[in-house]
Amino acid sequence: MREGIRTAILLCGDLESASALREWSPDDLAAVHVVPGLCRRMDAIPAIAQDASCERLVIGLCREDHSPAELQSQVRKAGLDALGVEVLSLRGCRPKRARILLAAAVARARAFTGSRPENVKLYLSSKISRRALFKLSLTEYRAAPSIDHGKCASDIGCRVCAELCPQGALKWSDGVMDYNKDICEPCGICVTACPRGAVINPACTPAQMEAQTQALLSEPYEGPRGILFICQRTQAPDIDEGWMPVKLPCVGMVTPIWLLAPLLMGAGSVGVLTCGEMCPARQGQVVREKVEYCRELLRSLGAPDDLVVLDPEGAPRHGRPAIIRRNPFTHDARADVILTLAESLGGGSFALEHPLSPLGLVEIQQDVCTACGMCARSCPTGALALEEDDDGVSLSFEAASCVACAQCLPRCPEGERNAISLRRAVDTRAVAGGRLLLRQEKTLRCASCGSQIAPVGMMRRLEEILGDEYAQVMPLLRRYCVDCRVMVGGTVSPR
Amino acid sequence: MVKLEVEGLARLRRSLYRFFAACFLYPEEARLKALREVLEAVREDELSPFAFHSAWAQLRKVVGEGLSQAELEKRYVRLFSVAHGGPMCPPHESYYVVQPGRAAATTSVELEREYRRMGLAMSLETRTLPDHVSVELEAMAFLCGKEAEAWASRSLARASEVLETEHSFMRTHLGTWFPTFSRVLMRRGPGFYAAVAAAADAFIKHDLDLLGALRKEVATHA
Repeated sequence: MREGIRTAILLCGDLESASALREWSPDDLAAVHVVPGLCRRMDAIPAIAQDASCERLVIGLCREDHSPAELQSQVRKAGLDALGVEVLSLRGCRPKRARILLAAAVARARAFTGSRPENVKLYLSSKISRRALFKLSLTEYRAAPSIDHGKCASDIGCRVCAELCPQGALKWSDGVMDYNKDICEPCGICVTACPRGAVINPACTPAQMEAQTQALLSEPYEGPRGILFICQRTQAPDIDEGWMPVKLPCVGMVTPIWLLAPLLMGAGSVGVLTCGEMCPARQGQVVREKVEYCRELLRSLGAPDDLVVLDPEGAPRHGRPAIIRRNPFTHDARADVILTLAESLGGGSFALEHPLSPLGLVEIQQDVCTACGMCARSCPTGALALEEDDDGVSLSFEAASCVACAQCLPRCPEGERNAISLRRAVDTRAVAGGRLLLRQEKTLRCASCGSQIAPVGMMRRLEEILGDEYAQVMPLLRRYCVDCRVMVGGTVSPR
Repeated sequence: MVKLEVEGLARLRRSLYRFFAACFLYPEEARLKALREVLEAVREDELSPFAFHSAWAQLRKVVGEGLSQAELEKRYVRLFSVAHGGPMCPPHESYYVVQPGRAAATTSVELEREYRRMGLAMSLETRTLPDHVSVELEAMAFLCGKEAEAWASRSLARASEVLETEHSFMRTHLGTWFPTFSRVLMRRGPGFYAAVAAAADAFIKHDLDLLGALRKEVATHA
């Protein structure tokens, strides 16, 4: 969380809890302002925000039918970024719970680092009538993702986000990932799928997730607490007060790691509330499978599997003290979360193979792999690495970095002969085991200039492919590098 | 909900395109005065419903802090006209749209053809090239004017046609290179031109979104 950010909490005076919260504040840099009838008159926002000299805004309303466009417009008048404002519906919320939700919203708002023009997606109303068309309604702006091309691995062939985008808004072409905002319905799936954290939704970053979850779990509260990931299209559910909501653009973006991480931050349970049939990204079944996977993982650790639940009904379980230190919601925290969880719940090592596994294990067939290194060159996380030295090349693998994205498989020239395979599995021994040497191969050196020609295995394979017809060429191919030989009409000679 | 009256919206967009077009022309005294007047005349309520409002407010703040004409002239020449090895930020599309085997003049020829299709022609008196940022912004202003007329006459078919032209022009020209141009400009340090670049960039990106959404709406009603 970014400290020292002055934050104003604006509460509608019609809220039952408003008077009880008037004198409350989560810290010295946040102040509560109770505004009579705020839900009906948003025009009060700019003056109050400017008087408070705040950099962030949290708004607690009693009505669900407010106009987001009007609210955002007033926020902009206050000189603030509308995408960074946290809006909560606190109707019927008791002061004790409202404090927790507000403190968490403050934490999330403070973790917001700003948006760029490309992160804004505009929504117009679509009332079908000719008359309505001449007076369109601007309903709201929502945060859309953008790609940090400096981090994006599309140049090495990665297309994980494009493969998972439910709308087909991401397309890979010639080493560049193209994003079409017109057809994107920002669901955030690309954000959590990216192996490098290169896709950013400024209103739903890992830092915001961490800040909000931590606050929800650390504010004083009697009784068990659970974290509930909830789709922003869904109204606040009528369930046990111990479930603390974290709103997301779509719960389809929740990964198994996100479902498990709060357990390490002190949550007794973690739940997901889907928007059911109305989900435009059709993620209901996917989320169900992710929850099922987490439950299977918990069972293999010897822990109760109802620590992670779909559409919870009862109260959450009692939590354990927080034990994880680094942000568990980041793209590279998978192994850390798994190992910490295994240590805290099971204490021992375990292995679980599953199609939704957040980690993977790459294996190669020694007698087929030519050590060409194409797999390592296409690995977006660096789990596969090819090192070259004077003696030859060595291909290594680090299970802790493998996110089972399978980008290496189609790049392998010997894929049809099963030179490389991926097991979607969590194996704590392998994860903790560090980097393993998969293959080592000597390289041939040019007799003329001394530079490397190719790994011996690769040359052997080339010989097999070319066959007897080119038998007379092979000695020269083995002897000279591409710069020191001349190939004329099927014969090769030194330059 | 914020109600947008489509004819008024098209007129507002026309004014903003014209404003930004003028910002990238030589900062003569009369032009600067006019720009200041526009900035003061635009009411907060008119732009606050839109996401590019913050960038606009920042531009107004920069202008409000005072502009020295002599300084601006010097800066303009340095950024857009002459510098060692050419201008620092050439304000021409052909500089940014690099395609192998494609001559810079091709872009200008294509643009002239586009302008003719819109019913425009490059004035013989101007020495500005067809791919100059101000010319492209003016072309968009012209189209927005046409769109406003179509809405005023309640002609959905005509409005749809102009929207298609605007969208196509943005997708093939202004919208493709302006973000790079503005990024280069913003990197050259703070001040009036960086603020103009940021505001115009936010406006253009917003306009691309708006055009996409409007086209969908019109298609639904047609």
